[in-house]
Amino acid sequence: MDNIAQVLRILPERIKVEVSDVIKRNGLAYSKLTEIHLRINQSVIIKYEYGKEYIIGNIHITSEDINYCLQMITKYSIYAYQDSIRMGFVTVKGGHRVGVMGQAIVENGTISGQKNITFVNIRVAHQVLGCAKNVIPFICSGSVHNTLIISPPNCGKTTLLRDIIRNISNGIDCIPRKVALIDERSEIAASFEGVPQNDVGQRTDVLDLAPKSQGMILALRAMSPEVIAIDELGGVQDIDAVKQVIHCGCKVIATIHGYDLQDCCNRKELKEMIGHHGFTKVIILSGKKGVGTIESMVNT
Amino acid sequence: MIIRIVGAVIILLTAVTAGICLSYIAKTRIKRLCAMVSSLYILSGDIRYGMTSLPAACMNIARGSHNDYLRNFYQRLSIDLNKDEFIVFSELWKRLIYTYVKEIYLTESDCEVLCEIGELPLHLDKDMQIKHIENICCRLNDIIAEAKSGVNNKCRIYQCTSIAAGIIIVILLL
Repeated sequence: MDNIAQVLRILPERIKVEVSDVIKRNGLAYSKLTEIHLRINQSVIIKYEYGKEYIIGNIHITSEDINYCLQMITKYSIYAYQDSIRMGFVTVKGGHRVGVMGQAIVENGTISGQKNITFVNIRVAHQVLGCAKNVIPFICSGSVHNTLIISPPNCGKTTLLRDIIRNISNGIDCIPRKVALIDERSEIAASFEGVPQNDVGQRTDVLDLAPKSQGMILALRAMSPEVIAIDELGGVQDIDAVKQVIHCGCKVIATIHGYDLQDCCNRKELKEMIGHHGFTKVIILSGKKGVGTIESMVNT
Repeated sequence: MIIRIVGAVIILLTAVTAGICLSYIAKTRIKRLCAMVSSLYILSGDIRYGMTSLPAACMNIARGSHNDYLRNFYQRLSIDLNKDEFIVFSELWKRLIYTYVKEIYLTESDCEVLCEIGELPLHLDKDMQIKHIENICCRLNDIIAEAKSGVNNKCRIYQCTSIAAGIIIVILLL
């Protein structure tokens, strides 16, 4: 309930009352709430597990409501969260990510900030402890192997990665290892003022909001990790950094968007990373039987 | 006779003390304004280099302050900003200025300028915050300079007037 209180405190009183009312009326559990979406001049929409949504039609969001949310999220210091707002989200206490969108400020063709925020999406953080129980023996047979988790969107790859990190860090069903987590979008550890809000293990160092390619090299030099974990492997720079890390003897556990192994192998820069010189273990997720369904675990 | 002498001494001492108090208030006013300006420069620095949120910046100032009233002011500000209920920053700032900073030392016009800090454009970028603070500090520095230039004369006038007033009262009563 404490977790949800952190989310509800962001909302103006009239919206807080309506959201609580809808949840009670429908006999829903706060622990299954995934999103509260506020859009200017529109109704509030709350989302639950499995995509179920409820529209609170009797209240429309005003600019004062959005301003209230922003002030509560940023503690009256929007200026201090300029970088976060430029990236489109702010992490609040409890590890919840609040997505913000409005008018982009563009300089030299790149987005340098946002103003006139009119859309707020509060994504409620839920850590699923133990969801990596079945994959740890696969990843850590003998020692930790370079592992790639392939998943379509919203199938739980970040949640799985988080639990894998926690298990390896704490030595649950495996030998404990030092882990460095490059949390570019503050989704895995969900750090608030530098303090991880999610349990990522006692031997995990977190680099928050850093670009993956640079973050991996920094972590390698600074923290002598045995494992580096990254979410959503991207382009050539990320791949090059992964190669460097593996070359230095450190193991990498990464996630990537994709539907299956073939889909990933179709990407030129990724194809050479799958196999003996790169990722020797691949876990494929799907949403067929709900979020976090492990479709297959493959040795490459 | 002895009672008259004792009474005269008491009256004179009271008058001298009043003069000393008025001098002390005039000098303390300048010290308070200077301390306030210093704290605002620290706040501005925290915003410029640390991009620190207001509650955290205020708590940093409170921890480093040697003045009780300033420490209490910034501590209270930080605590109230961290609460779960929405507040209007300008109203909170004004209330705390009058509660902790003004006391008997600052004038109404001093407090009016200090209260303008509460109008910080918190929804804008850090440069606007810094410019706003610097603008107010500039005005406060002008007030301090003006006060400093006349404070010694004022103190002398207070002390001389109070002694003179004491003597006149003693003569009248005797």
